Amino acid sequence: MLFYEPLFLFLFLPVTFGLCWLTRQLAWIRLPLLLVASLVFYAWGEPGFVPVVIASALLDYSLAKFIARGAGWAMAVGVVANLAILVVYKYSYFLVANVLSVAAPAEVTYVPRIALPIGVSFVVFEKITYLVDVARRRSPPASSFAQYLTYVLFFPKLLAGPIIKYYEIEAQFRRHPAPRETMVLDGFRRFMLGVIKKVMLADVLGTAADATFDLPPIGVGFADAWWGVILFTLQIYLDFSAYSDMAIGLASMFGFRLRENFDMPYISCSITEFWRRWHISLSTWIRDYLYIPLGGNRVAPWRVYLNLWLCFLASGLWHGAAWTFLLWGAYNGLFLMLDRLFLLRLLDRMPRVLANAITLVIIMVGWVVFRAGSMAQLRAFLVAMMHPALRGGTVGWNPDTVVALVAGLAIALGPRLPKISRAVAGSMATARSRFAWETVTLLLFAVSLCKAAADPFKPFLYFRF
Amino acid sequence: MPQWIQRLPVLLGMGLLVCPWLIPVVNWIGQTAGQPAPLIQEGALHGVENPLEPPVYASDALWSHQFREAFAAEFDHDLPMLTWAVEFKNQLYYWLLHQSGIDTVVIGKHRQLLEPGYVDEYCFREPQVILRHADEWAAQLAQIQAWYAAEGKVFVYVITPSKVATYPQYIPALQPCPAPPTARDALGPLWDATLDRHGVRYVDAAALTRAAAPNFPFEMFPLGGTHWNEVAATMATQAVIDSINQAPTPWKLQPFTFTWTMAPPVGISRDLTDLLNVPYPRLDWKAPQTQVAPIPPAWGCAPTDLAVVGGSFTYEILWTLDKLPCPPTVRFYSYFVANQAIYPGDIRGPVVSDERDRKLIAESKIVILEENEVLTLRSNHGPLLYDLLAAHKAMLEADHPPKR
Repeated sequence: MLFYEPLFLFLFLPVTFGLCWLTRQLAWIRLPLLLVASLVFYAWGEPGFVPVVIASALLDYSLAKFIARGAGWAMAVGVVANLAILVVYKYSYFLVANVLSVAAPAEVTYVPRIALPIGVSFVVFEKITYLVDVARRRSPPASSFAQYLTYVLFFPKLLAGPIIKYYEIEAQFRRHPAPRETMVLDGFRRFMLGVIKKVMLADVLGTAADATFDLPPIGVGFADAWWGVILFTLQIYLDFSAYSDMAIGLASMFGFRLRENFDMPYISCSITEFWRRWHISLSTWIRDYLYIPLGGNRVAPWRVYLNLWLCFLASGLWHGAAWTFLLWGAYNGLFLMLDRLFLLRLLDRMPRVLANAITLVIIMVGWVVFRAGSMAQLRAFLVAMMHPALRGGTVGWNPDTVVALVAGLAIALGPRLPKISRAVAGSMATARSRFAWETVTLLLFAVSLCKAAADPFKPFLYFRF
Repeated sequence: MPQWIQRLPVLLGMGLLVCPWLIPVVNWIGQTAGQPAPLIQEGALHGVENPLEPPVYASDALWSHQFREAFAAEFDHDLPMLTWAVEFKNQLYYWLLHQSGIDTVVIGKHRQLLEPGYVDEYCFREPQVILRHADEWAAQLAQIQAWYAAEGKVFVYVITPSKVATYPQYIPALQPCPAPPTARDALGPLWDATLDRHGVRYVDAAALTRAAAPNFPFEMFPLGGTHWNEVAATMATQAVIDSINQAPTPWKLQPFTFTWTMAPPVGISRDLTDLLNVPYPRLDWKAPQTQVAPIPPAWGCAPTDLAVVGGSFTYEILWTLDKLPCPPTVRFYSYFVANQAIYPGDIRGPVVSDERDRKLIAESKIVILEENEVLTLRSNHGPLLYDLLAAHKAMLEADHPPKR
């Protein structure tokens, strides 16, 4: 169940929120209600995985009591058990297929694939934070299993994050105050923005980007490649940040504050800055739970570079079990190393706009690696992007793509222009202007709802025949 | 500004999520108050979707992906405001963006409605690739013709036109069209030449339509439709009858002349307009309607058995034949397997394969195979007809080997 599907918008959300709002004064029912709603939400998407998550959460919950007393073995068991889930569900096919293709390439005809449970990477990383935070004494063990399970399955962040560190939210789960009107209204406002971004911009750009990336490698021309990359660059940002907006908004409606996950990443002037602004919850997870345990900045320079690179290799693998993701991680790790060696100093000396443009090109090339369906496609895109003479021109434009592109560019790059940022901020200064903005948001939300309801309707002509 | 007004947009946004459920509630209240018709009525959407697989409410099925997908699809489909949502979205796309809200229709230049499949076919048409197996297929068509001729029957192969290939000037401005125009337009003549070489009896209604177009004060395809208009289809029917009557068999059809009048478009003349599901399409056009008159002397009425295999363009040929005073008895097998229609009467139903095979092999005196130019050498129904006849001939030869 996705946040912009009619089933969620018109059934799950009104019913769940309605029940929670009506029972907001009954402290004892708030958390169980949220847990039941989260279980239903997750079971709808992945019923087979629910018992695995519950069993695994039960193990975490049991081990945490030992971890709190300093038992290293419990910590090791917990982390290995969680990583095992990830390995089995996400990486087993990739590992087995690659090992077999090297060991006995002629005999590999079919490798069975285990269905990837929705949000498994987010769930596992969050569960690990619980164990580590307890071990580091940043948080006490959860006071009840229900509380911990609600943290694990909390539906607003279940599908696409943000990755919530246990220590960041533990107090909120422990106290879980009744949602206040302002939080609900702010949350719904944010949710509306997320739905608009997702339905009216990201999906439109995504359709056009898919058309380009569906081209056979031999048919990719210079213009096609750049068009596809620009579209995908905007799509991935708008799509992912829209999910974060929806998640943060929904959480707020239910009385929880989640941290921001994006901070205008495309105005970054270096890759280091980009990773401070992009998918912040993952970058900080990697920093807190991987980079620092590996030694952080306190080791010899060559180890720092190696650790950085390893962390981003892991980040790439976290995004998906494919060589392209691994390569994307390595690519980002490489630029982070180069930043430390010389690139950051070089970019700092440049005009901001130029540094931003260079960074953006590096990011876009990275997105080609990320989006490519195969190494052959990756090669075709990179070659096409560097050869202006390569003719293609087989991908069409639709007016809605152009509108979404312009809006996407304004959202992604507009903040680079200080006057525009100030003008936007100024236009929100008075109650009257805020009301005007919110009215526009309401209208766009209504259009988005219609689009979300109408898009599954795919009539075809031949009903007459 | 009072606080409640400041909060109004967000509260209304929340209200939108419960709006769909107010429609059945209001209607229910109306009904309990004695109102016979629903208080809030929705129009009907045009076009059909692939039939929904209804969810199975059984304990073992509840955990399956299929159940959840079926439930979600049914939920989407049964949303009380679906019609309004579709029409509102499509109208907005149409007015603000001059774009179709559904992906099975594109809006070309001068508001012409087109099917994207036809646009893509024309814009990416590569005759040298398409015609790679032209000789093979033409030889098979000649074989079909010979098999029927050996039994004293007539076979005619008909090529119908595509709107985009007839009026390429309406291709949308943002549509890439890499195939050079000369190459695109070479397909028809090259295919005709191959058919001539193999001695196939055919009617190139695509070429006929394009040649006749300048003689009429209207275009051969309607503004809001994908199929040819009645005049084009009627001229093609005349050509098909001429071709049948020239064959050295006793099976003939009554030739006719026709006149036309202009009328507001209905049915097939506005098929894409309907499919747009836009309440205010602002498409103002008229479509020609034909009236036929047999060329004297009128024949005695002895309806001939006709079997036809083809696509959607065939219907208009059959409707024209149906207007004759003595119409032939027709069995039409749409795309060979999709469904069948019986004339006179235009009675639709599923294809009964045994009956179809009997009609095509043994009973029908005249057999027509229609392929639209977008399917030239790419149709499935043509080869299916060939396979049926080839299998039948092979079986006959196995039972009665030819004497040497």
